[in-house]
Amino acid sequence: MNSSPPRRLRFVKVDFAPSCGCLGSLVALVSDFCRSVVDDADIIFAFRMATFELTENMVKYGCGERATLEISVNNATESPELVLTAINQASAERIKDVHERLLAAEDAEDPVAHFDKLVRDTLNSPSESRLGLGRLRAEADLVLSHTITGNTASICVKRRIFKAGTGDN
Amino acid sequence: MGRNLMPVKKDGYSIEANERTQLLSVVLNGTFDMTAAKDLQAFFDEVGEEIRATNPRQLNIDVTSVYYLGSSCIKAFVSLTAALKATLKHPTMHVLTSPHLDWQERTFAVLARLAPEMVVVERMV
Repeated sequence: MNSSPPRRLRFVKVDFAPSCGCLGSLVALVSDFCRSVVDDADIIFAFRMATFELTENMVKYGCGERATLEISVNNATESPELVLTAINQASAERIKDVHERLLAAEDAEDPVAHFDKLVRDTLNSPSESRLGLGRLRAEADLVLSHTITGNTASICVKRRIFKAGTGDN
Repeated sequence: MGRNLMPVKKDGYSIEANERTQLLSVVLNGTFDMTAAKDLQAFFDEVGEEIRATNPRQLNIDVTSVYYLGSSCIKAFVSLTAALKATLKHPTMHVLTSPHLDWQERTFAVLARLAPEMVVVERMV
Protein backbone atom coordinates (compact mmCIF):
# COMPACT_ATOMS: atom_id res chain seq x y z
CA MET A 1 0.00 0.00 0.00
CA ASN A 2 1.40 3.41 -0.98
CA SER A 3 1.14 6.23 1.46
CA SER A 4 2.91 9.57 1.32
CA PRO A 5 5.21 10.28 4.26
CA PRO A 6 3.89 12.74 6.81
CA ARG A 7 5.04 16.26 6.12
CA ARG A 8 7.47 17.54 8.67
CA LEU A 9 6.51 20.33 11.04
CA ARG A 10 7.73 23.75 10.09
CA PHE A 11 7.47 26.54 12.62
CA VAL A 12 9.39 29.12 14.60
CA LYS A 13 8.11 30.22 18.00
CA VAL A 14 9.62 33.12 19.93
CA ASP A 15 8.96 34.26 23.49
CA PHE A 16 10.15 37.81 24.01
CA ALA A 17 9.85 40.86 26.21
CA PRO A 18 7.91 43.38 24.10
CA SER A 19 9.98 46.44 23.20
CA CYS A 20 10.68 48.59 20.14
CA GLY A 21 14.20 47.20 20.08
CA CYS A 22 13.10 43.69 19.12
CA LEU A 23 10.80 44.79 16.28
CA GLY A 24 13.37 44.57 13.48
CA SER A 25 14.71 41.18 14.61
CA LEU A 26 11.23 39.64 14.79
CA VAL A 27 10.27 41.00 11.37
CA ALA A 28 13.52 39.63 9.90
CA LEU A 29 12.94 36.24 11.50
CA VAL A 30 9.38 35.91 10.18
CA SER A 31 10.37 37.21 6.73
CA ASP A 32 13.22 34.69 6.48
CA PHE A 33 10.90 31.86 7.50
CA CYS A 34 8.32 32.92 4.92
CA ARG A 35 10.94 33.11 2.16
CA SER A 36 12.00 29.56 2.98
CA VAL A 37 8.49 28.13 2.58
CA VAL A 38 6.83 30.29 -0.06
CA ASP A 39 7.93 31.83 -3.35
CA ASP A 40 5.51 34.72 -3.47
CA ALA A 41 6.60 38.30 -2.75
CA ASP A 42 3.03 39.37 -2.05
CA ILE A 43 2.54 36.76 0.68
CA ILE A 44 5.96 37.45 2.19
CA PHE A 45 5.12 41.14 2.39
CA ALA A 46 1.70 40.38 3.89
CA PHE A 47 3.31 38.48 6.77
CA ARG A 48 6.00 41.13 7.15
CA MET A 49 3.26 43.72 7.56
CA ALA A 50 1.35 41.50 9.99
CA THR A 51 4.49 40.97 12.10
CA PHE A 52 5.09 44.71 12.28
CA GLU A 53 1.48 45.54 13.14
CA LEU A 54 0.89 42.77 15.68
CA THR A 55 4.25 43.28 17.40
CA GLU A 56 3.78 47.05 17.52
CA ASN A 57 0.40 46.49 19.18
CA MET A 58 2.03 44.22 21.76
CA VAL A 59 4.66 46.88 22.49
CA LYS A 60 2.13 49.71 22.71
CA TYR A 61 -0.78 48.05 24.47
CA GLY A 62 0.52 44.89 26.17
CA CYS A 63 1.10 44.77 29.91
CA GLY A 64 2.82 41.43 30.57
CA GLU A 65 6.55 40.87 30.65
CA ARG A 66 6.38 38.18 27.97
CA ALA A 67 4.72 37.86 24.60
CA THR A 68 4.79 35.10 22.00
CA LEU A 69 5.01 35.15 18.23
CA GLU A 70 4.75 31.97 16.18
CA ILE A 71 5.00 31.51 12.41
CA SER A 72 4.16 28.09 11.03
CA VAL A 73 2.95 26.12 8.05
CA ASN A 74 -0.34 24.33 8.58
CA ASN A 75 -0.41 21.18 6.44
CA ALA A 76 -3.62 19.86 7.93
CA THR A 77 -5.77 21.62 5.33
CA GLU A 78 -6.24 20.72 1.65
CA SER A 79 -3.68 23.29 0.59
CA PRO A 80 -1.05 24.42 3.09
CA GLU A 81 -1.47 27.68 4.95
CA LEU A 82 1.03 30.08 6.40
CA VAL A 83 -0.08 31.04 9.92
CA LEU A 84 1.15 33.80 12.22
CA THR A 85 -0.03 33.88 15.83
CA ALA A 86 0.63 36.67 18.35
CA ILE A 87 -0.14 36.11 22.02
CA ASN A 88 0.11 38.70 24.75
CA GLN A 89 -1.49 40.03 27.90
CA ALA A 90 -3.17 43.39 28.32
CA SER A 91 -5.38 45.26 30.77
CA ALA A 92 -9.09 44.38 30.89
CA GLU A 93 -9.92 47.67 29.17
CA ARG A 94 -7.45 47.02 26.34
CA ILE A 95 -8.61 43.43 25.95
CA LYS A 96 -12.23 44.58 25.59
CA ASP A 97 -11.18 47.22 23.05
CA VAL A 98 -9.08 44.85 20.93
CA HIS A 99 -11.82 42.20 21.04
CA GLU A 100 -14.35 44.69 19.67
CA ARG A 101 -11.99 45.96 16.99
CA LEU A 102 -11.08 42.43 15.92
CA LEU A 103 -14.72 41.35 15.72
CA ALA A 104 -15.46 44.38 13.53
CA ALA A 105 -12.48 43.63 11.27
CA GLU A 106 -13.25 39.90 11.05
CA ASP A 107 -16.96 40.40 10.33
CA ALA A 108 -16.61 43.22 7.80
CA GLU A 109 -18.22 42.17 4.51
CA ASP A 110 -16.04 44.66 2.65
CA PRO A 111 -12.59 44.89 4.32
CA VAL A 112 -11.58 47.92 2.23
CA ALA A 113 -14.73 49.86 3.15
CA HIS A 114 -14.16 48.92 6.79
CA PHE A 115 -10.57 50.18 6.60
CA ASP A 116 -11.72 53.43 4.95
CA LYS A 117 -14.07 53.98 7.89
CA LEU A 118 -11.16 53.42 10.32
CA VAL A 119 -9.13 55.95 8.33
CA ARG A 120 -11.88 58.57 8.69
CA ASP A 121 -12.20 57.73 12.39
CA THR A 122 -8.45 58.09 12.98
CA LEU A 123 -8.76 61.80 12.25
CA ASN A 124 -10.70 62.11 15.53
CA SER A 125 -8.16 60.11 17.52
CA PRO A 126 -5.41 62.44 18.75
CA SER A 127 -2.72 59.85 19.39
CA GLU A 128 -3.52 56.26 18.36
CA SER A 129 -3.95 55.33 14.71
CA ARG A 130 -6.16 52.25 15.37
CA LEU A 131 -5.52 51.21 11.75
CA GLY A 132 -3.19 48.24 12.17
CA LEU A 133 -5.70 45.42 12.56
CA GLY A 134 -8.01 46.74 9.83
CA ARG A 135 -5.29 46.86 7.21
CA LEU A 136 -4.40 43.18 7.65
CA ARG A 137 -7.51 42.17 5.69
CA ALA A 138 -7.87 45.27 3.52
CA GLU A 139 -4.30 45.49 2.26
CA ALA A 140 -2.76 42.09 2.91
CA ASP A 141 -5.74 39.81 2.19
CA LEU A 142 -5.07 37.85 5.39
CA VAL A 143 -7.70 35.76 7.16
CA LEU A 144 -8.00 37.14 10.67
CA SER A 145 -9.23 35.37 13.84
CA HIS A 146 -8.71 35.68 17.57
CA THR A 147 -9.45 34.20 20.96
CA ILE A 148 -9.57 35.93 24.33
CA THR A 149 -8.84 34.01 27.53
CA GLY A 150 -8.93 36.17 30.63
CA ASN A 151 -6.46 38.97 30.02
CA THR A 152 -4.69 37.12 27.21
CA ALA A 153 -5.34 37.85 23.54
CA SER A 154 -4.31 35.43 20.82
CA ILE A 155 -4.51 36.90 17.32
CA CYS A 156 -4.04 34.71 14.28
CA VAL A 157 -3.59 35.63 10.62
CA LYS A 158 -3.25 33.15 7.79
CA ARG A 159 -3.10 32.77 4.05
CA ARG A 160 -2.97 29.82 1.71
CA ILE A 161 0.31 28.96 0.02
CA PHE A 162 0.22 28.18 -3.65
CA LYS A 163 3.88 28.54 -4.60
CA ALA A 164 6.20 26.71 -2.24
CA GLY A 165 9.67 28.15 -1.64
CA THR A 166 12.97 26.41 -2.26
CA GLY A 167 13.27 25.43 1.39
CA ASP A 168 9.98 23.53 1.27
CA ASN A 169 11.47 20.04 1.04
CA MET B 1 13.94 74.92 0.71
CA GLY B 2 11.24 76.17 3.02
CA ARG B 3 12.59 77.62 6.21
CA ASN B 4 10.85 75.09 8.44
CA LEU B 5 11.51 71.94 6.50
CA MET B 6 14.74 70.71 8.01
CA PRO B 7 15.74 67.24 6.83
CA VAL B 8 15.40 64.31 9.21
CA LYS B 9 18.07 61.60 9.18
CA LYS B 10 17.72 58.74 11.63
CA ASP B 11 18.89 55.16 11.84
CA GLY B 12 16.54 53.37 9.42
CA TYR B 13 14.81 56.30 7.74
CA SER B 14 15.19 59.81 6.38
CA ILE B 15 12.86 62.61 5.26
CA GLU B 16 13.79 65.64 3.21
CA ALA B 17 12.11 68.32 1.16
CA ASN B 18 12.94 70.81 -1.52
CA GLU B 19 10.91 73.61 -2.92
CA ARG B 20 10.77 75.13 -6.38
CA THR B 21 8.28 77.51 -7.89
CA GLN B 22 4.82 76.11 -7.26
CA LEU B 23 6.19 72.68 -6.39
CA LEU B 24 7.05 71.26 -2.98
CA SER B 25 8.77 67.85 -3.08
CA VAL B 26 9.19 65.52 -0.13
CA VAL B 27 11.34 62.39 -0.34
CA LEU B 28 11.06 59.54 2.16
CA ASN B 29 13.63 56.75 2.46
CA GLY B 30 13.77 53.62 4.59
CA THR B 31 11.47 51.79 6.98
CA PHE B 32 8.67 53.80 8.57
CA ASP B 33 7.47 51.71 11.49
CA MET B 34 6.20 52.99 14.85
CA THR B 35 9.62 54.44 15.72
CA ALA B 36 9.41 56.85 12.76
CA ALA B 37 5.83 58.01 13.35
CA LYS B 38 6.58 61.00 15.58
CA ASP B 39 9.20 62.43 13.20
CA LEU B 40 6.97 61.90 10.17
CA GLN B 41 3.96 63.53 11.85
CA ALA B 42 6.07 66.52 12.93
CA PHE B 43 7.56 66.87 9.43
CA PHE B 44 4.13 66.70 7.79
CA ASP B 45 2.82 69.32 10.24
CA GLU B 46 5.59 71.59 8.96
CA VAL B 47 4.73 70.69 5.35
CA GLY B 48 1.13 71.74 6.05
CA GLU B 49 2.30 75.08 7.44
CA GLU B 50 4.65 75.63 4.53
CA ILE B 51 1.85 74.97 2.05
CA ARG B 52 -0.48 77.36 3.81
CA ALA B 53 2.30 80.01 3.70
CA THR B 54 3.47 79.54 0.10
CA ASN B 55 0.45 78.05 -1.73
CA PRO B 56 2.30 75.73 -4.15
CA ARG B 57 0.23 74.15 -6.90
CA GLN B 58 1.64 70.70 -6.34
CA LEU B 59 3.01 68.56 -3.53
CA ASN B 60 5.05 65.52 -4.56
CA ILE B 61 5.77 62.82 -1.99
CA ASP B 62 8.31 60.34 -3.31
CA VAL B 63 7.98 57.00 -1.48
CA THR B 64 9.83 54.87 -4.04
CA SER B 65 12.51 54.01 -1.48
CA VAL B 66 10.13 53.30 1.40
CA TYR B 67 10.29 49.63 2.33
CA TYR B 68 7.56 49.60 4.93
CA LEU B 69 4.93 52.04 6.16
CA GLY B 70 3.27 51.16 9.47
CA SER B 71 -0.20 52.15 10.59
CA SER B 72 1.14 54.95 12.82
CA CYS B 73 2.77 56.49 9.75
CA ILE B 74 -0.32 55.96 7.61
CA LYS B 75 -2.08 58.13 10.18
CA ALA B 76 0.47 60.90 9.49
CA PHE B 77 -0.31 60.70 5.74
CA VAL B 78 -4.04 60.69 6.44
CA SER B 79 -3.75 63.73 8.74
CA LEU B 80 -1.74 65.65 6.13
CA THR B 81 -4.27 64.76 3.41
CA ALA B 82 -7.20 65.88 5.56
CA ALA B 83 -5.43 69.10 6.59
CA LEU B 84 -4.65 70.02 2.98
CA LYS B 85 -8.14 69.09 1.83
CA ALA B 86 -9.53 71.57 4.35
CA THR B 87 -7.48 74.49 2.99
CA LEU B 88 -9.10 76.86 0.52
CA LYS B 89 -6.42 76.58 -2.19
CA HIS B 90 -5.07 73.11 -1.70
CA PRO B 91 -2.34 71.72 -3.97
CA THR B 92 -2.69 68.46 -5.83
CA MET B 93 -0.80 65.78 -3.94
CA HIS B 94 1.14 63.24 -6.01
CA VAL B 95 2.36 60.15 -4.19
CA LEU B 96 5.13 58.64 -6.31
CA THR B 97 5.39 54.87 -5.82
CA SER B 98 7.90 52.24 -6.89
CA PRO B 99 7.13 49.87 -9.80
CA HIS B 100 8.97 47.16 -7.83
CA LEU B 101 7.00 47.41 -4.58
CA ASP B 102 3.41 46.38 -5.29
CA TRP B 103 2.23 46.97 -1.72
CA GLN B 104 2.79 50.71 -2.08
CA GLU B 105 -0.13 51.22 -4.45
CA ARG B 106 -2.47 49.31 -2.14
CA THR B 107 -1.29 51.22 0.92
CA PHE B 108 -1.43 54.70 -0.60
CA ALA B 109 -4.68 54.11 -2.48
CA VAL B 110 -6.48 54.89 0.76
CA LEU B 111 -5.39 58.54 0.41
CA ALA B 112 -6.89 58.75 -3.07
CA ARG B 113 -10.13 57.30 -1.72
CA LEU B 114 -10.10 59.87 1.09
CA ALA B 115 -9.55 62.85 -1.23
CA PRO B 116 -10.04 61.72 -4.85
CA GLU B 117 -10.10 65.28 -6.20
CA MET B 118 -6.73 66.07 -4.62
CA VAL B 119 -4.58 62.92 -4.40
CA VAL B 120 -2.97 61.04 -7.28
CA VAL B 121 -1.04 57.84 -6.64
CA GLU B 122 1.47 57.57 -9.46
CA ARG B 123 3.68 54.58 -10.20
CA MET B 124 7.13 55.71 -11.35
CA VAL B 125 8.66 54.02 -14.40
